[in-house]
Amino acid sequence: MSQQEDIEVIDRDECLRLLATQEVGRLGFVDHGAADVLPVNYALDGEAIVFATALGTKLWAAERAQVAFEIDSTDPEARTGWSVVVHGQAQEVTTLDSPVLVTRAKDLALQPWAGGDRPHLVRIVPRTITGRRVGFKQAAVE
Amino acid sequence: VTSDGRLFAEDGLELLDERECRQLLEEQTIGRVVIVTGGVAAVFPVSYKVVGGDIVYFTGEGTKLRHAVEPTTVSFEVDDFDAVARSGWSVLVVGEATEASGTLARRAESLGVVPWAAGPRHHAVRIRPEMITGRRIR
Repeated sequence: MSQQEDIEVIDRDECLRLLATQEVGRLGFVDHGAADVLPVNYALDGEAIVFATALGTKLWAAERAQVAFEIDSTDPEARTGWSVVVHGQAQEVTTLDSPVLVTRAKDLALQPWAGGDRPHLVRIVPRTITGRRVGFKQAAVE
Repeated sequence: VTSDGRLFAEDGLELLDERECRQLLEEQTIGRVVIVTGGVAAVFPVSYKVVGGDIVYFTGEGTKLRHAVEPTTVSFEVDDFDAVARSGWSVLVVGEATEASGTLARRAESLGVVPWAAGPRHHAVRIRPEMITGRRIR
């Protein structure tokens, strides 16, 4: 792989900073035993990722599951890219949670681009947060 | 179905047909592979190219490689979003991932596919799409 230049590990603080710069991530989850993935609008609550969904949707399969959440960005000019992956437990924010948490989650600037009513907030509490930055000698992206 | 023939899903997103999905797949170079490992989903980005209708990418050692040693059904996603216009699209492929032949690997490498994972050894993987779906928000 002669085109590979270097791969740098991104530390947790930088991963969190990068998570705060994006609005859309991809949620990987298991639905009836099969790997599934959907892009979601999200907001950060401290280190937790919060997204909105509705009962009965495909995305609802992620609730109360171990999920993987990914964001990335590539720069065709600089020929670099980075990615951050969060693994953790997804759980709906309900009235059983502390009122402080419920208020905080509802106050997030979370505005799903897609229409439709998405009244349920789901929070992913990270178990691991990992990131890597990749540089390419030749154009990886056209 | 709208008057101009566009289809919409229940969630309000426009549905893309397979021809458009395949075209979008060919235009992008970074996608995300999702596998089930130990009952849990794992996701990782890859640099890829479509070669002969198959998605070809490189993986490093470990968990990511294991899905290629034994044929495994995986999900593969590409997208492009515009945060200002709050619009975008995504394409999801489901298919079997298997180790790619040396010929296919060299073809992918010559097209600019690079490994995203660290480590000296890389293996070429190919996904043969069995299902392709796409959504658009605008």
